[in-house]
Amino acid sequence: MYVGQAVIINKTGLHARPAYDFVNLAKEYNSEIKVRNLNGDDSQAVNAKSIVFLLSLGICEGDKIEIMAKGNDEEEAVTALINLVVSGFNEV
Amino acid sequence: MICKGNKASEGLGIGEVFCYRPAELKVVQSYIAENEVSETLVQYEAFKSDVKNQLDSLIVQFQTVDPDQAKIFLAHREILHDDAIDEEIRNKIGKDLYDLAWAVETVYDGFSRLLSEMKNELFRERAQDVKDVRNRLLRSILGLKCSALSSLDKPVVIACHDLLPSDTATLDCHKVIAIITETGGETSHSAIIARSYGIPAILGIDGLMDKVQGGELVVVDAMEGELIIVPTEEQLKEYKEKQKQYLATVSSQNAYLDKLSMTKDGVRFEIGINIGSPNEVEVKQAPYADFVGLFRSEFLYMTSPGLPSEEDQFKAYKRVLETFKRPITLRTLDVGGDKSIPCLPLPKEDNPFLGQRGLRFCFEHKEFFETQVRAALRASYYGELHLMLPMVTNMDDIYKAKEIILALRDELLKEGVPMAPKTKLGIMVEIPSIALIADHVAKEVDFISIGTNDLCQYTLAVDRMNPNLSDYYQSFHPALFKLIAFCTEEFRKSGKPVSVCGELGGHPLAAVVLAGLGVRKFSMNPPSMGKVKRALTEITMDFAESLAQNVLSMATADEVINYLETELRGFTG
Repeated sequence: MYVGQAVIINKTGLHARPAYDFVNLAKEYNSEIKVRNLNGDDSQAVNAKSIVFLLSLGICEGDKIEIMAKGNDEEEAVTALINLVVSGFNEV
Repeated sequence: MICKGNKASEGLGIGEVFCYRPAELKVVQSYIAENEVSETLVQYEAFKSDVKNQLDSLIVQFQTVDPDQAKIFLAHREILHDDAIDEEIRNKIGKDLYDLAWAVETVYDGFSRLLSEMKNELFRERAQDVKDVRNRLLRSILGLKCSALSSLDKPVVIACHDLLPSDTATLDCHKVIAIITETGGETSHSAIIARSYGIPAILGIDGLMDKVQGGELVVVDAMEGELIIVPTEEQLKEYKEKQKQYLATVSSQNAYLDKLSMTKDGVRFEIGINIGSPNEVEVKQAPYADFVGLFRSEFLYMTSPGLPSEEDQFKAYKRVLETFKRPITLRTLDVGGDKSIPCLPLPKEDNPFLGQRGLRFCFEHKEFFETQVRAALRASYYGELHLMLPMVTNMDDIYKAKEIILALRDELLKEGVPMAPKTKLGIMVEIPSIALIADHVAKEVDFISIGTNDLCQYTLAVDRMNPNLSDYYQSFHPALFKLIAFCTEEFRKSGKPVSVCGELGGHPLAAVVLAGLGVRKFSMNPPSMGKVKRALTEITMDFAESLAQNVLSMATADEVINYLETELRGFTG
């Protein structure tokens, strides 16, 4: 298992296009990927390849998220997703 | 068989009937046998790919004309392919032996509930998207394809009880030969949509849905208001000839499109268009228009699954300004009456047309109004945008709205948001009480625009949606012209512009009278531009003025129409 954390810096948070970008990137990897919102009411980890679950985390600007992956490409998956988040989804 | 109805949008269409019966999606709890599991899973994949194809074609269709709408469908496609939803549906089928429709409904409803219970409104709104995909999938499973007006596979004549804004928002108008309905008059939503796309329409045909089954050939003669179900060979030939002649007339009118609108004696008119979504036809006609006299902002609320945010509205308005490159008059939210919007808390009223409509609704729900005005003021930086208030009854309405708008302007200035240095404010004249105090109105606003459909309804006390009263809804009633004459004259003393944005302004006979009464700006549905430009080019101002004076002295609408038809014969046809 490989784990990483990142803070959301883009204004819209993870509800519109950024959420879809995140899920689509996650789907490119074989590993099982989970994500949780460390600032959310409920810090349960959900399937990062599900747009609806991702939305249900209510991730906003300033929230810290944790990404966990398990599988043959776990390290690449987490690194790529973290890079996407810290780049501000090309919005910032 | 020949049926009669109200001619709502001119033209003549011949084609196959497509019955649109929006059905309730009824799913019952039911189970499958264990040996049916693999087959059910295969079916699930097949329906999913059917829905994916529908969404793909919608995305392609909207990408250039309405990118925001395309984005919604893109989001729907993501939901359709959601890993978690997919896994749960497979579990419900494979382990719990739910039948397909029941599994889809249960799982989708669960996820949409998950989102609808969230605190943040932006996330909550996405629950509607999940519901939309659920409905699409269920319709496909239950074989209710006919409810999807957005995925017509060939050109058809649409027959339905009535068309609602939510039905037409994704209607592929290229595939609509004509529209026929059971209810609705000349100014219902169906009629307005038909006219704005130039689709022939006959509305209010009694018992229509019992008379057609779908698939049969019909002739829709919207010039005479006659529907011919399964025409004979002879009739068909006759109507094809009539259609040819009609198209020739339209093309000769369209020759006037790129000409200046000027009377023979040099009085210049500004001809504008009314726009909605904005659709392709509207964008295509924009080069011929001097301005956009009515931008109906309601479409945003109708196509969006939740309330459109300030940011969404800002982007939409900015896009309209940048697309049309013309002065745009944005009418603020005009709901109530016949216009209901799923995501807005409209009250149930006995007399909705006399109730909380337009500005009245906006005052009651100031937050919607404020969001919209803020978005509009922000967009004003990117072109020439004017604001127009609907359903204004008295001066208090104007004072109150101005106060709100000025406060929002100050707020935006403090935030350092770029805006146009001044945004013109005008009102719609739709209620006789405001028409009769136009001199006072002139002291407070920069322009007025006469909404003749509502002004007619409120002057004649006729519910324009009631098909039993269509004889009473007389747009050429002399009283209406008298009211417009008075209001125009009083307002013009201030030197500020009066425009007409109702249906009357798009009617060549009426346009000449209105010109004679002092109106110099007309805004209309794009397909009317050619004929109005033609009529105004062929007259002199003296002639229009004397014609108008005669009309003011007449007693009945029939008298007015007969007189105008005789006097203007030859160049309004």
